[in-house]
Amino acid sequence: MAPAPTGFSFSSAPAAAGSPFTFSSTKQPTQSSSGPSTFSFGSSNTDSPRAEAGRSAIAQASHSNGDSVQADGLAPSHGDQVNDEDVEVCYLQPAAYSREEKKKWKASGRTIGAAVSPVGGEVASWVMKKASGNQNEAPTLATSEMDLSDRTIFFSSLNSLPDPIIQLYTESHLLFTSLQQIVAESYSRRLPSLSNERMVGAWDKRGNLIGGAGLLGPPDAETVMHMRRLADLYLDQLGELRAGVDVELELKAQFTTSYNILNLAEVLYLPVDGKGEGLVGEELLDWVNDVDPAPDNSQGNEIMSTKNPWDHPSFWPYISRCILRGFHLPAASFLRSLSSHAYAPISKLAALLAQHLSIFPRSSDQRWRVDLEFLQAHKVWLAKFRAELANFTGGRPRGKWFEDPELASWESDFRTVVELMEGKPSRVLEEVADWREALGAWGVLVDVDMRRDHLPEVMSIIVDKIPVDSTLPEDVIQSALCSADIIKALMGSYDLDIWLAAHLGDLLDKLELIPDDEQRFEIPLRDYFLLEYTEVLQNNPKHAAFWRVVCDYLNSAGQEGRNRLGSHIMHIAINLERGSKGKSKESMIAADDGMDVEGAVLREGKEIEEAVRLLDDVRAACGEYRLDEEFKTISQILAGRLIRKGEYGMAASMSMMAGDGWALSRIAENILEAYIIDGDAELLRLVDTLPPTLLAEAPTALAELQQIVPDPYASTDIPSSSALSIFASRLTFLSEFRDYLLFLAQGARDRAAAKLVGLLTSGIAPVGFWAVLLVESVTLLEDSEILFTSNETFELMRILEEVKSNASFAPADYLSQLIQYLDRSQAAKSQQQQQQQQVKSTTSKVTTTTEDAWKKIDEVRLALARNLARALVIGFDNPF
Amino acid sequence: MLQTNLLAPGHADLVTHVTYDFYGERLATCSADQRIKVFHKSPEGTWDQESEWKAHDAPVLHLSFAHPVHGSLLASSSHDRSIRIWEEPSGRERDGRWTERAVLTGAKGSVRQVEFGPADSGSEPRVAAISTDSYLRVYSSADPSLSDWSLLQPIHIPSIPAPGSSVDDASSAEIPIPTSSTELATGGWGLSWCKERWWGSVIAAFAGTSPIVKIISLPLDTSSSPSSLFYLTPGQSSSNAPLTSVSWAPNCGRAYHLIATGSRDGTVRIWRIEPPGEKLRVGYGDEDGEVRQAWRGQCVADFGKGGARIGMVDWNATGTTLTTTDDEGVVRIYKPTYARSWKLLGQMTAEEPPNEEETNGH
Repeated sequence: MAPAPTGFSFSSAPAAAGSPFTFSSTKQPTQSSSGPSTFSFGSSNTDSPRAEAGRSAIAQASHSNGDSVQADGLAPSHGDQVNDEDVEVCYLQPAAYSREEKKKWKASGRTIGAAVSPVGGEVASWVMKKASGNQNEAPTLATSEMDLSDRTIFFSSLNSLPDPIIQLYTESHLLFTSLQQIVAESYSRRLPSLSNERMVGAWDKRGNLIGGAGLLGPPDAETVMHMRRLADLYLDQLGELRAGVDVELELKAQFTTSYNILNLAEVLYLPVDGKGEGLVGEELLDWVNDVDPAPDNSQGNEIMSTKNPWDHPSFWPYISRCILRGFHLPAASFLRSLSSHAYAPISKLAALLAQHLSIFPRSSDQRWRVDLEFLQAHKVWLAKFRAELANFTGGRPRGKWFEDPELASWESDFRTVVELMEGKPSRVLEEVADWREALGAWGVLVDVDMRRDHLPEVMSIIVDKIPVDSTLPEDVIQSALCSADIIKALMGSYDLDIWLAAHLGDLLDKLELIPDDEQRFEIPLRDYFLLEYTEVLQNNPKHAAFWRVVCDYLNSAGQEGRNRLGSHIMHIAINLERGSKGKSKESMIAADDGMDVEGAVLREGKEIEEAVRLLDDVRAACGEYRLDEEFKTISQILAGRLIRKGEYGMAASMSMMAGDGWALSRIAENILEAYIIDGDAELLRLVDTLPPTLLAEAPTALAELQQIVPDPYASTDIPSSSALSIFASRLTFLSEFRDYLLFLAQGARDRAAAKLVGLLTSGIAPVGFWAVLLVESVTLLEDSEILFTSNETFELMRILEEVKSNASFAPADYLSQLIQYLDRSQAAKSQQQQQQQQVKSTTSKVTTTTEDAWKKIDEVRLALARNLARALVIGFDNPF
Repeated sequence: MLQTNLLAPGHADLVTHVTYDFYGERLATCSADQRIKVFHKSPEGTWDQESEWKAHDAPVLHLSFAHPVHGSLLASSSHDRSIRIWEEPSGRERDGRWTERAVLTGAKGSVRQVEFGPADSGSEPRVAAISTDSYLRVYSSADPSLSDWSLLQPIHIPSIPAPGSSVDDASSAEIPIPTSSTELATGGWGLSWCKERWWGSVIAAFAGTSPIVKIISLPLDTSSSPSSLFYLTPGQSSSNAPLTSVSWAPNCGRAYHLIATGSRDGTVRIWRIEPPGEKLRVGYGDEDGEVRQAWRGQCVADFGKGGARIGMVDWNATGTTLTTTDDEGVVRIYKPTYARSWKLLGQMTAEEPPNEEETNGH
């Protein structure tokens, strides 16, 4: 027998404050970690987890369990084969072999491989070749033919959730989160000094964060009442589902079981008044009548419709059942049917019992203002009943109530009714069908003053006489709840239904009813169940729909849950790229047979819209759970993917979210690259996709950064600000260069020239691009108007000299972009020529060499010199 | 357990390895036909082929996707003694096949396994491979275009100095004994990265016929040498059979790590190891309050001895379920119970279901 859990006391004990059934605000002494473990799974030997873990648990720290050592290959079967047989087997289709052919299949050199998906609990398996005798060579099969199964990859999932379960899991999520909030708020209300933090925390002596909850004791009555309301809503959901028309019978049974257990837990631990000090008998009886309705109405009608109802064999048992189940008025009317009995004393006694039964005081009656009034009334009723009964029997001894000895059996039937009405324990225990009925009757008939604290004692009396059937998990859990054996109840629930274990565990933990056992277990039972529940949510084919739900549960499941939360959110796939759904645009169009190109594009747009919405949700979640680092990484990954796909606009937005300056400057560089390779139209197109604010704010940001005078004493922030300034300058350059191209296109050549000088002299142009800008200046320098002043020309010449001297050392850094640029412009030129001349010559590939680049640089020098001369002359001729 | 889907990858020979990407949205398959195929999960849950190409000059043995923070990279290893790094094509390249970024050579035998290191934003991607010459080779690329990979010092697993021992005996390290034919027939080679970067670059690896997994700390650069941190040595009563597979569980911030191994004789072991502690993370058992300097660990589960050869062991993303395969053609999934023992959750087989067999028989 498991050691009795501590943590509750019987009514007589003065320390009622520590009882789980009363919710006093007094701090409940928590068990010290050095104390003896009170934890038990109900197994006979706590040292043997093997026994506890059940049928299929295999191994514990120790090694081999007596399996004799067998030579490799000789052992025909697994040491654990016996265990395997109890475990569910999933037969993959199409099957590779029949049972008889297994040997042949193995002998052909085949085996199976498997890969685990990081999400959804999916496992991919496939038929593969066994390693050969020489692992440097590829193994071969006995026959080279490939079967259907050899060509298949099988996918399977750990869990599959039917729709009603999905409905429950989805809908109960909101209730669960509200529950967490309500209780957290109650803590902060009670401990105002800690209310700044959403989750109240406190530090233990070792410096570990522990829940502030433990310091405060169980929640106050008001909070318990709130919790009860939420438990009611859980029950409503279960009730709705079990009543559903298209729900499978097996599921209905599961919902009903969970309903009954949760309902009992609510009656016992979430009392209406929030304190649980009141009488509990009627509530328990209601619960019993709900779980196991009796007596049967139709049977009652049948009895009453017979000529002499008392002749019906079920007449008396039916009356007893009515009394036990609290249906006193029907019982009274059954008794009244005896008024037509020929023998006067019988009809007289029946009338007496019926009369008293119909006025039997019930605590549920509205007229009692306080419990005491009811108890008084019951006492008076019982005294009066006994007095009038004594009056009837007239002091006749047992067995002599009726003078006619043939009526002795009548007397015993009457006596049963009398003793039930009097609440004689032995009689009640004799008449009841099971422990549940006994418990229901106890608080109404036997101990009308029964409180929640009395229940463990009452239960021990009942189960001593009527043991709980240990093969019925539902009964075991319910009786454990009544006996305040919380651990047993929760472990039982865990075997039955993980949803129940998680949500019931959470409720009971909030009431501080789960004893600690940190010596044996790493995480609290509640957190363990919640984590197990999230595993089910994560490991099923529809896991993607639960990602947000999983976040909330993980966030509430202690440190381990928080740790997993980061990994969970990182694994959410957000497909922002176009054509990312496994099909390129071409194949998509081809698949649609060319008839629905617009449809395909529309669908893609919709998918991206959805992805953006998902991203927003993920961002919000990361904000809520303070997963800043994780979100940064998510944005970084997304930006990287978008950059690779050339979708710079969205990539830039992502990099801004990630605060990733390097990615932003990479985007700017890629766009410049696109200009060099594909020309101005491409650059203008790409720049237009960038978020407008990004370009608009870049120059201001740069200006601000440049104004910051480096503080010789501040050393810490320098790396980050220099990274920032690089990306700001790259973007500023991009926006200025775009302006230059636009001026040029609009024919505002003077402004274009001024821009060009600005680009080169302000130091924001990347060095590799200088040569390109200089070459760009040639057409402007050769303009019929003089667009550059002598000073500007001098500046350009200075830069030209710098490019020349640097390029002699590092031609790749200073000239490679120019070479690509020249390649492109020459290709464009030759293409134009070809088009003009209508010549169909094979396009000779134009390749620009470094020499060509140097030549071009010289051209720039010449143009600069000519312009300088013109500018100087104009300067001298200037009338002013 | 329930079968959810199937896919005919269309390889000309049997599939040798299948691997998922970080999000479980992509699947790469490789085969003895020397080709790699990449599939993408559609919103409807079907796998659509994205791309395929000839990857090696011999059967491809193993694949690994890089963490997405390092880009969209796939590594493959082969009997042709090379490792190849592939990058997903950007939108511009029209023919969908992945671009070969590097061919990493140097192995003196088939490269049995290849695996990318864990995410490390701000640092270069690393890829580790082990081949039948018993060398663990780790390559990294500082080049943004990922075409230049440098080999860190190759590590000969059998001769790496034991944890805590002094500088390695250079002579034994430099003249490796060629792998014998017995070893080639009965040995095994495998590796698995520690999924957290907190303790640096750490790898679990085994080679040849030894039943010992060595936990190795890699140096940050090529100038320093690797050191072994801890050996997972099976106990006296346990199996001494050569290993076939090792898998380091993602630890999700737990204070301990789990490593699973599979052996030739059917033994599956689960090791629980604890890294050197910060003071506050040390277990409650440490009364002295000293900060532990070394890694330590113990075998927490050891079962299946005397069964069929274990093909592979692999953890899920939270390190909470373990999947194994064996040469009986059975896939098994285990998870820990609250009381820290291990429970068989479900199994899969490609055998015909029994009831069908019965109806056929009668």
